[in-house]
Amino acid sequence: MSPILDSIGSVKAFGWGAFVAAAIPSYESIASTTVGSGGTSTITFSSIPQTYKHLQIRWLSKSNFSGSSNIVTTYCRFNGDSGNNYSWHYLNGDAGTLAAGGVADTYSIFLSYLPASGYTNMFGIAVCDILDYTNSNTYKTVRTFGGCDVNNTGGEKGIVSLATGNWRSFSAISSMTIGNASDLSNGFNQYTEFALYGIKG
Amino acid sequence: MATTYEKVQSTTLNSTQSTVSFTSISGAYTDLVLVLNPIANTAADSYPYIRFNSDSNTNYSRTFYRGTGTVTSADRAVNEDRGYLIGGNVVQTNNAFNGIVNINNYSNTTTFKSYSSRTNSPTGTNASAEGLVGMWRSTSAITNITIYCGSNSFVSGSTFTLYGILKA
Repeated sequence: MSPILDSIGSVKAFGWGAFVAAAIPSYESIASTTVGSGGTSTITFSSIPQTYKHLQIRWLSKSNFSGSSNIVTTYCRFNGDSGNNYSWHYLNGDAGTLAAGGVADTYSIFLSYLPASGYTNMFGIAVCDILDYTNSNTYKTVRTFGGCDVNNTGGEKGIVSLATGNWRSFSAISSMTIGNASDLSNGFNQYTEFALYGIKG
Repeated sequence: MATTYEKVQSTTLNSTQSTVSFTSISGAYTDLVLVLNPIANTAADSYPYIRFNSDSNTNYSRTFYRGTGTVTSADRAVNEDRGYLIGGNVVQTNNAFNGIVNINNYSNTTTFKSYSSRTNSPTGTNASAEGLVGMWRSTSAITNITIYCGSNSFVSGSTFTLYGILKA
């Protein structure tokens, strides 16, 4: 008996079993952005279609905050709301420390961690889910899992994080702005990539 | 809008083998998602890991946290020769280990590659829920992912699925 080989879209796998390929039709790409040279201040997805049940944002990111040994935080706001209408909680792990906490009545939602600009070639990774984003009967809830590892570069610890956030608004989410620091005062470095997807209900 | 989340390949093993490889991965997608539900050929602890492009040099690192039935912990490991998907979770005989691994922007040639994984190992002395972020210090596009069962083997019934996600 020989290994079964299958090839779909120029991708191959070897193993003692069967390979199957199929599409998941309920998951669609809405928009994406890749940061060019010089970086960017914030990233905004605007005019988000109201035709999906959930949203997912996936990214690989580096902050434009200068510093060779800093891990930076990513936050977001919805529909341009900078009022104290947000809250969030986190569960973080780094080199030997597990921490949990939260902030109420604040002006943005914490999402995840990423390296400062001094970390050559190193980027943070995260996947963020925004459930039922058009529901006019509920506040909006966000969940993000991600973080960054920097191989102890500069003696800095990486961080893995699970974060949840709440936007106390009944409005459907039609835009989302993402930046670094709680006031979104820092942006992203070159090669950062954010992609927004819609999931049908 | 175009459908963008595709199951590229999946396999259910019908015999014992020490590794499972996805090779010749094209750059046609933006992100990859690996879903695995393996079973080991031994009751001893087997620590699953991956290697990208067959790289066995010390180019991998990870930061993780985990919770067992009674204990929480966090830690990191640097300059490893493999990309562990776990902090302490194990694959064992009849152990329904499962994991989801995200590899974002896997085919770019300008950044090191980061991945995240969520795993659970519900039975045995290392039973826990875990989260992890890892890094492979290479700017090469990922074209090959090999999955190892520690120093042991995966047995029949183990499943591995690779998905591709394409941005707009």
